[in-house]
Amino acid sequence: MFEGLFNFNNISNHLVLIGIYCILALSLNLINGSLGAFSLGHHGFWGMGAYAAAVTVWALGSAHGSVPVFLLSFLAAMAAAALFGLLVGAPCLRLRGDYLAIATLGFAEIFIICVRNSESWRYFGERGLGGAAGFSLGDGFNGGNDVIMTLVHESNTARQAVYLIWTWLLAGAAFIFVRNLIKSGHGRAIQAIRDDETAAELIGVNLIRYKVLVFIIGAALAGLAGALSANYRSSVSPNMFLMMEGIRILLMVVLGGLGSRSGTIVAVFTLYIAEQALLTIDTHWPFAGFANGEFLLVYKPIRDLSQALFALVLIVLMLRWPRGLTRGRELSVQFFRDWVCERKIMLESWMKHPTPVILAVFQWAQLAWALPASERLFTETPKRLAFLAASVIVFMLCTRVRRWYWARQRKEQNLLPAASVNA
Amino acid sequence: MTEFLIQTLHGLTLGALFALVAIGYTMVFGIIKLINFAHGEFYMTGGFTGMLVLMYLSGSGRLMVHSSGELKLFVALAAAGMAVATLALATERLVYRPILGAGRISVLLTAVGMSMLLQNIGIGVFGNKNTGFPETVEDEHYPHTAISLSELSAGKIAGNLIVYRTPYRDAHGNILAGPSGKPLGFISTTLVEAGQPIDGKKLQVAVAAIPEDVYAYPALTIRKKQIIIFIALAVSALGLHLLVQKSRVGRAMRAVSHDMQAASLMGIDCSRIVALTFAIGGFFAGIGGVLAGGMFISTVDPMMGFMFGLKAFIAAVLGGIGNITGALLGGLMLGLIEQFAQHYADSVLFRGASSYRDAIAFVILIVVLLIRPRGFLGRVEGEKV
Repeated sequence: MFEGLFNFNNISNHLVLIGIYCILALSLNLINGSLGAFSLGHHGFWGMGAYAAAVTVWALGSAHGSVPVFLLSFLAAMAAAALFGLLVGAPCLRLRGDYLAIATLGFAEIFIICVRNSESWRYFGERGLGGAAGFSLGDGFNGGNDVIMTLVHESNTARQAVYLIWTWLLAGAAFIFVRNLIKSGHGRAIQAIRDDETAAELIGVNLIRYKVLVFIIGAALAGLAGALSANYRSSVSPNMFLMMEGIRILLMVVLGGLGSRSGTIVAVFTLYIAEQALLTIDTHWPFAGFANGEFLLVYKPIRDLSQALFALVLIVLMLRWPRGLTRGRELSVQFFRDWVCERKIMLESWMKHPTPVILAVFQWAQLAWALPASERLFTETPKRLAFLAASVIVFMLCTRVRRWYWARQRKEQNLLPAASVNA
Repeated sequence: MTEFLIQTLHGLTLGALFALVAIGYTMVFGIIKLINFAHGEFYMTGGFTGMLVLMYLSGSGRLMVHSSGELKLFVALAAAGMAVATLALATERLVYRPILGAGRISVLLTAVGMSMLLQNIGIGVFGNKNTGFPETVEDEHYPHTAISLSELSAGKIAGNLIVYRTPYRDAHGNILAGPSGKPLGFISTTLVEAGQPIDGKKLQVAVAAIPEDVYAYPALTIRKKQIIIFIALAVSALGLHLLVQKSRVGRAMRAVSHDMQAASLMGIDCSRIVALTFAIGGFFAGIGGVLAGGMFISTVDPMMGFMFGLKAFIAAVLGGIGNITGALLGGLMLGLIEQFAQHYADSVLFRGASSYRDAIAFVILIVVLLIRPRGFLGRVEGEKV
């Protein structure tokens, strides 16, 4: 089952993608978390960077993917994305909250729509920028290959190693840059704007300057990630930068806790690994199907349901942790001490009241077992449906009993509800 | 001039559909300041519900086999409206109400998640393709003077004509789709000037592929489907006006929208009013789904709510979000602008410009937000410190 999962190329591929997402999430965290502006259009900056890098490589020729071309494409990507950030950041001066979110989304969508129709941009050759089909960069960058080739004697592996090193070097640099920026005087001004715009203005923070600055920096970092992904995949297409990707990055930021850099990194790893793990599970879940005017009970592989599951997980995560896993705090020694302390209290309460804990484990286990098992256990659709309905009813009953139990405990002890002990 | 009038009519039709969906956005935003991204998916759900209800009721041996098209459509509208209102209520209760107290970003992210969830459930069940909608009302044109194909090919044209292609269906009424999933034929219009020969090749292709479905009409006709859409919008707007301005519940809604805390101190059950707002918005989105996806375009697909919802939201912003009259006006305006831009961009700007039509709505949005963030009819609120 896990053959080929643990070889270097596969793991390195995932690590490179995680690194790219880390840069994106860090830069979005700068805009949404530290400045408190609400940007929904990060996929636009990312895409702008990727296309700028692709065009640079195309213009300079990428026969052997030399280092100067690679670096130039990065600079061009950052510059183009920063310009785009300036363009988007300007309306930021007038707009607040949800209006700003919609405006940034609008900019990103305009960019994607333009790129979709880029087949007719004859300046870039016969097929323009490729339109919806995408634009190829040739081989892309594999500078430094010579050194690594002497070690591993395999070109694909060498390429992976090169990108692994470059991505994480850049991700580390981005992390340090963002941390230093936030810890500096400028960073305090930025955070002051987030906490109270009017008060910040009154004590002399230049709102216009800092807002535009943060948008430019965030966009440039996203452009960096774009250049990385363009060079790494050696092609760009509008489908790499859909709104779905913007939402994924935003979810990483919110889940990590707005304003928490280390939390963001943890959230990127968690979400990415969880998603990949979900894709490797080889099981079929029941789902409704519609054909020839009739509804059917069909069993679909989890892979086909991954988008719907992602959305469901997003909603559940937001309902359970609306302020993120870290509630906006940095991961420090004190954070872990507090965390351990909280868990201890939770555990003590669980030891004292094992009934709801056992019920919780049971209810989820029976649901997770029943969904794939219904296909194997029963052949007829009515029986399968009855079995599924029964498992859902058991699930809901367990929740009821747990709530009733905690409510009774609270009443007896005259306590206020504690969210963390609600097993 | 004829062409301009035709485009105006089309634009107003499109705008009326935008307006129906924009009502829900503007009402929900007016009360709880939430951009309900799932609203576009409510519209999509409406289209599919209408389709299922019609398929069920007009199957052989069922209740409505011999009913008139108008009655069928009315039943589909009522059923879809109620179903989507229920869905909106459930969404509000299960998803939005628990999270409303959290930060803005979490709330908006949840709304986007809800939209994605409904969309992907739709894709999972119905597939990412167009599904044919059962035919309800006959597509009549007024003034009612269809010209047959033989007359057309004989060159007997006495005035400006417009050639319509409607989707081609198989024996079961399903629309035949090409390899890309799009229907082979579609409602498209070709204007034929008086005295000029018809674009022979184009028409021949159309005739070869769809022998019976090419009709020609005098250029400026209004279709029955368009009349139905306008009537539906007028009735909805009137009903909504009476509800909001004249009834007790409407007064409570206005109070909650003005100041929720003060309203709750006056004894108004705010969460009930919010739920009601969601239900009303969902009802109109459902109606819009049946009218647009079902009746007018004759196909429904799970992705139809995404762009349409965003554009309807833009229409609400254009008219002044939180303002119901503004949503109606904004919808009509956006429909007109989009139709004109799509039709005239190629000749005015550059060849191929009309393929950027989806970007136009966003450009309008950004321009409006920059020049007049409160929209055309929105009231200006001072900043509270």
